Amino acid sequence: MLKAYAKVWLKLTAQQFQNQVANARGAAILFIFGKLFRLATAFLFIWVIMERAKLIAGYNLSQAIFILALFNFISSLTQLFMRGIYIFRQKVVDGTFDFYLLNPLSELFYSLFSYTDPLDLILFFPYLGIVIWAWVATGFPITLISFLFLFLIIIISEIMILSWHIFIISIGVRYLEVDNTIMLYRDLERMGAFPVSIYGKLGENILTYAFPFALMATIPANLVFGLFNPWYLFGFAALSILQLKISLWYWHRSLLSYSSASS
Amino acid sequence: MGSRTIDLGWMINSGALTIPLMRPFNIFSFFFIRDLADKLFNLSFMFIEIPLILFIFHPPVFLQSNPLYLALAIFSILLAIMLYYYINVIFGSLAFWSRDVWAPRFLLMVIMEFATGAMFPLDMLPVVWQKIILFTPFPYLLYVPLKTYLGTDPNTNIHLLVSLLWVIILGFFANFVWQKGIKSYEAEGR
Repeated sequence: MLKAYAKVWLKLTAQQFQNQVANARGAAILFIFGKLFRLATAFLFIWVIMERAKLIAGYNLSQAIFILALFNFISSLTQLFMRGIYIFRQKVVDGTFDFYLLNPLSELFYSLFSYTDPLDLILFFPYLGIVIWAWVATGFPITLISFLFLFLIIIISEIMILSWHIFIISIGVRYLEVDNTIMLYRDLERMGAFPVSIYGKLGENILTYAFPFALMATIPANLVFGLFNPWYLFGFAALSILQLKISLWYWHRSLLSYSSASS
Repeated sequence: MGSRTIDLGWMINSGALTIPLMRPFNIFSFFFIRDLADKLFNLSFMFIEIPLILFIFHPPVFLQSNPLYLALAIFSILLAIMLYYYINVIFGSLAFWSRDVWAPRFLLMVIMEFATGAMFPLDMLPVVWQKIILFTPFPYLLYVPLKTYLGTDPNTNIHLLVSLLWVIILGFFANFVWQKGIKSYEAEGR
Protein backbone atom coordinates (compact mmCIF):
# COMPACT_ATOMS: atom_id res chain seq x y z
CA MET A 1 0.00 0.00 0.00
CA LEU A 2 2.80 2.36 0.99
CA LYS A 3 4.46 1.53 -2.32
CA ALA A 4 1.36 2.69 -4.20
CA TYR A 5 1.37 6.01 -2.32
CA ALA A 6 5.09 6.48 -3.00
CA LYS A 7 4.55 5.71 -6.69
CA VAL A 8 1.66 8.17 -7.02
CA TRP A 9 3.55 10.84 -5.08
CA LEU A 10 6.57 10.48 -7.36
CA LYS A 11 4.32 10.66 -10.41
CA LEU A 12 2.55 13.80 -9.14
CA THR A 13 5.86 15.43 -8.22
CA ALA A 14 7.28 14.63 -11.67
CA GLN A 15 4.19 16.20 -13.25
CA GLN A 16 4.62 19.24 -11.07
CA PHE A 17 8.23 19.46 -12.18
CA GLN A 18 7.21 19.20 -15.85
CA ASN A 19 4.66 21.92 -15.24
CA GLN A 20 7.34 24.16 -13.70
CA VAL A 21 9.71 23.59 -16.59
CA ALA A 22 7.00 24.22 -19.18
CA ASN A 23 5.41 27.27 -17.61
CA ALA A 24 7.64 28.90 -15.09
CA ARG A 25 11.33 28.44 -15.71
CA GLY A 26 12.14 32.04 -14.77
CA ALA A 27 9.94 31.85 -11.71
CA ALA A 28 12.23 29.24 -10.18
CA ILE A 29 15.01 31.79 -9.78
CA LEU A 30 12.61 34.22 -8.07
CA PHE A 31 11.39 31.47 -5.77
CA ILE A 32 14.86 30.35 -4.71
CA PHE A 33 15.99 33.95 -4.28
CA GLY A 34 12.88 34.61 -2.13
CA LYS A 35 13.59 31.63 0.10
CA LEU A 36 17.23 32.59 0.59
CA PHE A 37 16.32 36.23 1.18
CA ARG A 38 13.87 35.18 3.90
CA LEU A 39 16.52 33.08 5.59
CA ALA A 40 19.06 35.91 5.35
CA THR A 41 16.64 38.40 6.94
CA ALA A 42 15.93 35.93 9.76
CA PHE A 43 19.67 35.65 10.45
CA LEU A 44 19.91 39.44 10.27
CA PHE A 45 17.13 39.68 12.85
CA ILE A 46 19.03 37.48 15.29
CA TRP A 47 22.23 39.40 14.68
CA VAL A 48 20.44 42.73 15.26
CA ILE A 49 19.03 41.43 18.57
CA MET A 50 22.43 40.08 19.63
CA GLU A 51 23.95 43.49 18.93
CA ARG A 52 21.78 44.81 21.75
CA ALA A 53 21.45 41.83 24.08
CA LYS A 54 24.26 39.31 24.28
CA LEU A 55 21.90 36.43 25.11
CA ILE A 56 18.38 35.40 24.04
CA ALA A 57 16.76 33.55 26.95
CA GLY A 58 20.18 32.24 27.94
CA TYR A 59 21.27 31.20 24.42
CA ASN A 60 24.27 32.81 22.76
CA LEU A 61 24.43 33.93 19.11
CA SER A 62 25.62 30.62 17.64
CA GLN A 63 23.04 28.65 19.65
CA ALA A 64 20.24 31.00 18.57
CA ILE A 65 21.35 30.64 14.94
CA PHE A 66 21.31 26.84 15.31
CA ILE A 67 17.73 27.03 16.62
CA LEU A 68 16.74 29.21 13.66
CA ALA A 69 18.49 26.89 11.18
CA LEU A 70 16.70 23.86 12.64
CA PHE A 71 13.37 25.65 12.51
CA ASN A 72 13.96 26.65 8.91
CA PHE A 73 14.90 23.10 7.93
CA ILE A 74 11.90 21.41 9.57
CA SER A 75 9.52 24.10 8.35
CA SER A 76 10.83 23.62 4.79
CA LEU A 77 10.37 19.88 5.12
CA THR A 78 6.72 20.48 5.93
CA GLN A 79 6.38 22.91 3.05
CA LEU A 80 7.97 20.34 0.78
CA PHE A 81 5.39 17.64 1.49
CA MET A 82 2.24 19.47 2.60
CA ARG A 83 2.04 22.31 0.10
CA GLY A 84 -1.36 21.04 -1.09
CA ILE A 85 -3.01 22.86 1.79
CA TYR A 86 -2.52 26.19 0.01
CA ILE A 87 -4.72 25.16 -2.90
CA PHE A 88 -7.14 22.99 -0.95
CA ARG A 89 -9.86 25.64 -0.67
CA GLN A 90 -9.79 26.07 -4.43
CA LYS A 91 -10.18 22.31 -4.90
CA VAL A 92 -13.28 22.30 -2.70
CA VAL A 93 -14.73 25.39 -4.38
CA ASP A 94 -14.23 24.18 -7.96
CA GLY A 95 -15.33 20.60 -7.21
CA THR A 96 -11.95 18.90 -7.76
CA PHE A 97 -12.23 17.53 -4.23
CA ASP A 98 -14.97 15.19 -5.50
CA PHE A 99 -12.34 13.44 -7.60
CA TYR A 100 -10.11 13.07 -4.54
CA LEU A 101 -12.99 11.30 -2.79
CA LEU A 102 -13.56 8.98 -5.71
CA ASN A 103 -9.91 7.97 -5.89
CA PRO A 104 -8.81 4.59 -4.50
CA LEU A 105 -6.05 6.30 -2.49
CA SER A 106 -6.81 8.39 0.58
CA GLU A 107 -8.42 11.79 -0.08
CA LEU A 108 -6.15 13.18 2.63
CA PHE A 109 -3.10 12.11 0.66
CA TYR A 110 -4.31 14.00 -2.43
CA SER A 111 -5.43 17.00 -0.40
CA LEU A 112 -2.10 17.52 1.35
CA PHE A 113 0.65 15.79 -0.60
CA SER A 114 -0.29 16.15 -4.24
CA TYR A 115 1.34 19.50 -4.85
CA THR A 116 5.01 19.02 -3.96
CA ASP A 117 7.07 21.85 -5.30
CA PRO A 118 10.33 20.53 -6.85
CA LEU A 119 12.00 23.83 -5.97
CA ASP A 120 11.59 22.94 -2.30
CA LEU A 121 13.46 19.74 -3.08
CA ILE A 122 16.32 21.76 -4.57
CA LEU A 123 16.57 23.87 -1.41
CA PHE A 124 16.42 20.87 0.93
CA PHE A 125 20.15 20.15 0.80
CA PRO A 126 21.41 23.72 1.24
CA TYR A 127 19.13 24.03 4.27
CA LEU A 128 20.50 20.78 5.69
CA GLY A 129 24.00 22.15 5.09
CA ILE A 130 23.12 25.31 7.05
CA VAL A 131 21.90 23.17 9.98
CA ILE A 132 25.18 21.22 10.04
CA TRP A 133 27.22 24.41 9.72
CA ALA A 134 25.26 26.05 12.58
CA TRP A 135 25.62 22.88 14.67
CA VAL A 136 29.41 22.86 14.23
CA ALA A 137 29.49 26.58 15.11
CA THR A 138 27.84 25.92 18.50
CA GLY A 139 30.83 23.79 19.50
CA PHE A 140 28.65 20.82 20.52
CA PRO A 141 29.82 17.54 18.94
CA ILE A 142 27.83 15.87 16.16
CA THR A 143 27.38 12.31 17.42
CA LEU A 144 25.44 9.42 15.91
CA ILE A 145 23.17 9.19 18.94
CA SER A 146 22.24 12.90 18.90
CA PHE A 147 21.72 12.66 15.15
CA LEU A 148 19.34 9.71 15.63
CA PHE A 149 17.47 11.56 18.37
CA LEU A 150 17.11 14.57 16.07
CA PHE A 151 15.71 12.29 13.40
CA LEU A 152 13.20 10.90 15.90
CA ILE A 153 12.16 14.41 16.98
CA ILE A 154 11.66 15.39 13.34
CA ILE A 155 9.33 12.41 12.86
CA ILE A 156 7.34 13.25 16.00
CA SER A 157 7.11 16.94 15.08
CA GLU A 158 6.01 16.08 11.53
CA ILE A 159 3.20 13.89 12.92
CA MET A 160 2.02 16.83 15.05
CA ILE A 161 2.36 19.19 12.09
CA LEU A 162 0.38 16.76 9.93
CA SER A 163 -2.35 16.66 12.58
CA TRP A 164 -2.66 20.44 12.51
CA HIS A 165 -2.75 20.45 8.71
CA ILE A 166 -5.51 17.83 8.72
CA PHE A 167 -7.41 19.92 11.26
CA ILE A 168 -7.08 23.03 9.06
CA ILE A 169 -8.32 21.33 5.89
CA SER A 170 -11.17 19.83 7.91
CA ILE A 171 -12.20 23.39 8.71
CA GLY A 172 -11.89 24.03 4.96
CA VAL A 173 -14.33 21.21 4.15
CA ARG A 174 -16.82 22.50 6.71
CA TYR A 175 -16.57 26.27 6.29
CA LEU A 176 -14.61 26.80 3.03
CA GLU A 177 -11.98 28.68 5.02
CA VAL A 178 -8.39 27.53 4.67
CA ASP A 179 -6.25 30.45 3.50
CA ASN A 180 -6.61 32.65 6.58
CA THR A 181 -6.38 29.69 8.96
CA ILE A 182 -3.15 28.40 7.43
CA MET A 183 -1.72 31.93 7.44
CA LEU A 184 -2.60 32.23 11.13
CA TYR A 185 -0.93 28.86 11.72
CA ARG A 186 2.18 29.94 9.79
CA ASP A 187 2.34 33.19 11.76
CA LEU A 188 2.20 31.25 15.01
CA GLU A 189 4.71 28.76 13.64
CA ARG A 190 7.28 31.51 13.20
CA MET A 191 7.33 31.94 16.97
CA GLY A 192 9.18 28.63 17.00
CA ALA A 193 12.13 30.17 15.17
CA PHE A 194 13.36 31.49 18.52
CA PRO A 195 13.83 29.77 21.88
CA VAL A 196 10.28 29.22 23.15
CA SER A 197 11.24 30.20 26.69
CA ILE A 198 11.17 33.87 25.59
CA TYR A 199 7.36 33.68 25.46
CA GLY A 200 6.85 33.10 29.19
CA LYS A 201 5.78 29.90 30.94
CA LEU A 202 2.24 29.74 29.52
CA GLY A 203 3.38 30.66 26.00
CA GLU A 204 6.15 28.07 26.19
CA ASN A 205 3.72 25.35 27.31
CA ILE A 206 1.24 26.14 24.52
CA LEU A 207 3.97 26.14 21.86
CA THR A 208 5.36 22.89 23.28
CA TYR A 209 2.29 20.76 23.98
CA ALA A 210 -0.58 22.18 21.93
CA PHE A 211 1.47 23.07 18.85
CA PRO A 212 4.54 21.37 17.37
CA PHE A 213 6.58 24.59 17.32
CA ALA A 214 8.92 23.84 20.24
CA LEU A 215 9.60 20.42 18.72
CA MET A 216 10.61 22.10 15.48
CA ALA A 217 13.66 23.86 16.92
CA THR A 218 14.02 24.54 20.65
CA ILE A 219 13.67 20.94 21.83
CA PRO A 220 16.06 19.37 19.28
CA ALA A 221 18.53 22.18 19.95
CA ASN A 222 18.22 21.66 23.71
CA LEU A 223 18.89 17.98 23.15
CA VAL A 224 22.12 18.83 21.34
CA PHE A 225 23.05 21.29 24.13
CA GLY A 226 22.37 18.58 26.74
CA LEU A 227 19.42 20.51 28.19
CA PHE A 228 16.69 18.00 27.25
CA ASN A 229 16.15 14.52 28.63
CA PRO A 230 15.52 12.16 25.64
CA TRP A 231 13.13 10.01 27.76
CA TYR A 232 10.55 12.79 27.43
CA LEU A 233 10.35 11.87 23.73
CA PHE A 234 8.09 8.95 24.67
CA GLY A 235 5.60 11.48 26.05
CA PHE A 236 5.84 13.62 22.92
CA ALA A 237 5.39 10.55 20.70
CA ALA A 238 2.19 9.64 22.60
CA LEU A 239 1.01 13.26 22.35
CA SER A 240 1.62 13.34 18.59
CA ILE A 241 -0.38 10.12 18.07
CA LEU A 242 -3.20 11.50 20.20
CA GLN A 243 -3.25 14.71 18.14
CA LEU A 244 -3.26 12.68 14.92
CA LYS A 245 -6.17 10.55 16.11
CA ILE A 246 -8.19 13.63 17.12
CA SER A 247 -7.52 15.39 13.81
CA LEU A 248 -8.46 12.26 11.82
CA TRP A 249 -11.67 11.97 13.82
CA TYR A 250 -12.45 15.62 13.06
CA TRP A 251 -11.59 15.08 9.38
CA HIS A 252 -14.06 12.20 9.09
CA ARG A 253 -16.73 14.23 10.91
CA SER A 254 -16.12 17.11 8.49
CA LEU A 255 -16.39 14.84 5.46
CA LEU A 256 -19.89 13.90 6.61
CA SER A 257 -20.91 17.54 6.23
CA TYR A 258 -19.39 17.83 2.72
CA SER A 259 -22.21 18.36 0.24
CA SER A 260 -20.25 18.49 -3.03
CA ALA A 261 -22.20 21.66 -3.81
CA SER A 262 -19.57 23.09 -6.15
CA SER A 263 -19.54 20.32 -8.72
CA MET B 1 -2.20 42.54 5.42
CA GLY B 2 -4.72 40.06 4.13
CA SER B 3 -6.05 40.56 0.65
CA ARG B 4 -8.56 38.84 -1.63
CA THR B 5 -6.86 40.45 -4.63
CA ILE B 6 -4.34 37.61 -4.39
CA ASP B 7 -7.03 35.59 -6.23
CA LEU B 8 -6.57 37.80 -9.27
CA GLY B 9 -3.75 35.71 -10.76
CA TRP B 10 -5.77 32.52 -10.45
CA MET B 11 -8.87 34.25 -11.86
CA ILE B 12 -6.96 35.37 -14.94
CA ASN B 13 -5.32 31.98 -15.51
CA SER B 14 -8.50 29.96 -15.01
CA GLY B 15 -10.76 32.32 -16.95
CA ALA B 16 -12.83 33.04 -13.84
CA LEU B 17 -12.20 36.75 -14.41
CA THR B 18 -14.68 36.66 -17.30
CA ILE B 19 -17.72 36.68 -15.03
CA PRO B 20 -16.89 39.84 -13.02
CA LEU B 21 -15.72 41.48 -16.27
CA MET B 22 -19.19 41.02 -17.77
CA ARG B 23 -20.96 42.51 -14.77
CA PRO B 24 -22.07 46.13 -14.97
CA PHE B 25 -19.64 47.57 -12.46
CA ASN B 26 -16.09 48.85 -12.26
CA ILE B 27 -13.79 45.85 -11.81
CA PHE B 28 -11.27 47.85 -9.76
CA SER B 29 -14.00 48.90 -7.31
CA PHE B 30 -15.21 45.29 -7.14
CA PHE B 31 -11.78 44.00 -6.15
CA PHE B 32 -11.27 46.86 -3.72
CA ILE B 33 -14.58 46.16 -1.97
CA ARG B 34 -13.72 42.46 -1.80
CA ASP B 35 -10.41 43.45 -0.25
CA LEU B 36 -12.13 45.63 2.35
CA ALA B 37 -14.61 42.87 3.18
CA ASP B 38 -11.73 40.44 3.61
CA LYS B 39 -9.94 42.86 5.92
CA LEU B 40 -13.12 43.28 7.96
CA PHE B 41 -13.36 39.52 8.23
CA ASN B 42 -9.73 39.28 9.32
CA LEU B 43 -10.30 42.08 11.80
CA SER B 44 -12.99 40.00 13.47
CA PHE B 45 -10.25 37.56 14.54
CA MET B 46 -8.88 40.44 16.61
CA PHE B 47 -11.57 39.82 19.23
CA ILE B 48 -10.11 36.38 19.84
CA GLU B 49 -6.45 36.99 19.11
CA ILE B 50 -5.82 40.14 21.14
CA PRO B 51 -7.32 38.88 24.44
CA LEU B 52 -5.46 35.62 23.89
CA ILE B 53 -2.13 37.39 23.33
CA LEU B 54 -2.74 39.63 26.35
CA PHE B 55 -3.58 36.60 28.48
CA ILE B 56 -0.62 34.50 27.39
CA PHE B 57 2.21 36.99 26.97
CA HIS B 58 1.13 40.00 29.10
CA PRO B 59 2.76 42.50 26.71
CA PRO B 60 2.80 46.21 27.63
CA VAL B 61 -0.05 47.95 25.78
CA PHE B 62 0.09 51.55 24.60
CA LEU B 63 -3.24 53.27 23.93
CA GLN B 64 -2.87 56.56 22.07
CA SER B 65 -4.95 59.31 23.66
CA ASN B 66 -3.90 62.22 21.44
CA PRO B 67 -6.75 62.68 18.88
CA LEU B 68 -4.37 64.22 16.33
CA TYR B 69 -2.11 61.17 16.27
CA LEU B 70 -5.16 58.91 16.14
CA ALA B 71 -6.57 60.80 13.14
CA LEU B 72 -3.19 60.76 11.38
CA ALA B 73 -2.81 57.03 12.11
CA ILE B 74 -6.25 56.30 10.62
CA PHE B 75 -5.31 58.33 7.53
CA SER B 76 -2.03 56.46 7.29
CA ILE B 77 -3.81 53.09 7.58
CA LEU B 78 -6.26 54.05 4.82
CA LEU B 79 -3.34 54.97 2.57
CA ALA B 80 -1.67 51.66 3.46
CA ILE B 81 -4.82 49.72 2.50
CA MET B 82 -4.89 51.42 -0.90
CA LEU B 83 -1.16 50.97 -1.37
CA TYR B 84 -1.38 47.26 -0.60
CA TYR B 85 -4.35 46.87 -2.90
CA TYR B 86 -2.52 48.47 -5.84
CA ILE B 87 0.61 46.38 -5.20
CA ASN B 88 -1.57 43.25 -5.29
CA VAL B 89 -3.34 44.32 -8.47
CA ILE B 90 0.03 44.91 -10.18
CA PHE B 91 1.40 41.53 -9.12
CA GLY B 92 -1.88 39.73 -9.85
CA SER B 93 -1.92 41.26 -13.34
CA LEU B 94 1.33 39.47 -14.14
CA ALA B 95 -0.94 36.48 -14.85
CA PHE B 96 -1.97 38.20 -18.09
CA TRP B 97 1.50 37.36 -19.41
CA SER B 98 2.70 34.48 -17.23
CA ARG B 99 1.19 31.18 -16.09
CA ASP B 100 3.07 31.38 -12.85
CA VAL B 101 2.28 34.26 -10.52
CA TRP B 102 3.14 32.39 -7.34
CA ALA B 103 6.91 32.93 -7.50
CA PRO B 104 6.85 36.73 -7.99
CA ARG B 105 4.14 36.97 -5.33
CA PHE B 106 6.21 34.85 -2.96
CA LEU B 107 9.22 37.08 -3.54
CA LEU B 108 7.07 40.14 -2.91
CA MET B 109 5.75 38.59 0.31
CA VAL B 110 9.25 37.83 1.56
CA ILE B 111 10.53 41.32 0.75
CA MET B 112 7.47 42.85 2.37
CA GLU B 113 7.93 40.81 5.53
CA PHE B 114 11.28 42.49 5.97
CA ALA B 115 10.77 45.94 4.44
CA THR B 116 7.39 46.73 6.04
CA GLY B 117 8.87 46.29 9.49
CA ALA B 118 6.67 43.23 10.17
CA MET B 119 9.64 41.05 11.02
CA PHE B 120 11.27 43.63 13.30
CA PRO B 121 11.00 47.43 13.65
CA LEU B 122 13.07 49.16 11.01
CA ASP B 123 14.55 51.37 13.79
CA MET B 124 16.74 48.40 14.69
CA LEU B 125 18.54 48.66 11.35
CA PRO B 126 21.45 51.04 10.67
CA VAL B 127 20.24 54.53 9.68
CA VAL B 128 21.46 54.18 6.07
CA TRP B 129 19.36 51.04 5.60
CA GLN B 130 16.33 52.75 7.11
CA LYS B 131 16.71 55.66 4.69
CA ILE B 132 17.01 53.33 1.69
CA ILE B 133 13.94 51.31 2.72
CA LEU B 134 11.93 54.49 3.27
CA PHE B 135 12.36 55.25 -0.43
CA THR B 136 10.34 52.12 -1.25
CA PRO B 137 6.54 51.84 -0.76
CA PHE B 138 6.81 48.97 1.74
CA PRO B 139 7.42 50.76 5.08
CA TYR B 140 4.28 52.83 4.43
CA LEU B 141 2.23 49.64 4.77
CA LEU B 142 3.05 48.98 8.41
CA TYR B 143 6.06 50.76 9.87
CA VAL B 144 4.87 54.31 9.17
CA PRO B 145 1.23 53.73 10.32
CA LEU B 146 2.60 52.18 13.54
CA LYS B 147 5.03 55.02 14.19
CA THR B 148 2.27 57.52 13.44
CA TYR B 149 -0.02 55.82 15.96
CA LEU B 150 2.71 55.79 18.59
CA GLY B 151 3.47 59.45 17.89
CA THR B 152 7.20 58.71 17.78
CA ASP B 153 7.83 59.65 14.15
CA PRO B 154 9.45 63.10 13.95
CA ASN B 155 8.73 63.19 10.18
CA THR B 156 5.08 62.14 10.26
CA ASN B 157 3.92 64.78 7.78
CA ILE B 158 6.64 63.99 5.26
CA HIS B 159 6.02 60.27 5.57
CA LEU B 160 2.28 60.68 5.09
CA LEU B 161 2.94 62.82 2.03
CA VAL B 162 5.32 60.20 0.60
CA SER B 163 2.71 57.54 1.35
CA LEU B 164 0.11 59.54 -0.58
CA LEU B 165 2.56 59.97 -3.46
CA TRP B 166 3.12 56.20 -3.58
CA VAL B 167 -0.64 55.63 -3.66
CA ILE B 168 -0.95 57.96 -6.65
CA ILE B 169 2.06 56.48 -8.48
CA LEU B 170 1.06 52.86 -7.89
CA GLY B 171 -2.59 53.66 -8.66
CA PHE B 172 -1.61 54.99 -12.07
CA PHE B 173 0.78 52.11 -12.65
CA ALA B 174 -1.79 49.48 -11.65
CA ASN B 175 -4.28 51.04 -14.03
CA PHE B 176 -1.68 51.10 -16.81
CA VAL B 177 -0.69 47.44 -16.26
CA TRP B 178 -4.36 46.40 -16.10
CA GLN B 179 -5.26 48.20 -19.32
CA LYS B 180 -2.30 46.60 -21.09
CA GLY B 181 -3.03 43.16 -19.66
CA ILE B 182 -6.75 43.09 -20.29
CA LYS B 183 -6.07 43.42 -24.03
CA SER B 184 -4.21 40.11 -23.94
CA TYR B 185 -6.84 38.34 -21.80
CA GLU B 186 -8.19 35.31 -23.65
CA ALA B 187 -10.60 33.88 -21.05
CA GLU B 188 -9.05 30.46 -21.54
CA GLY B 189 -10.51 27.74 -19.34
CA ARG B 190 -14.07 29.10 -19.74
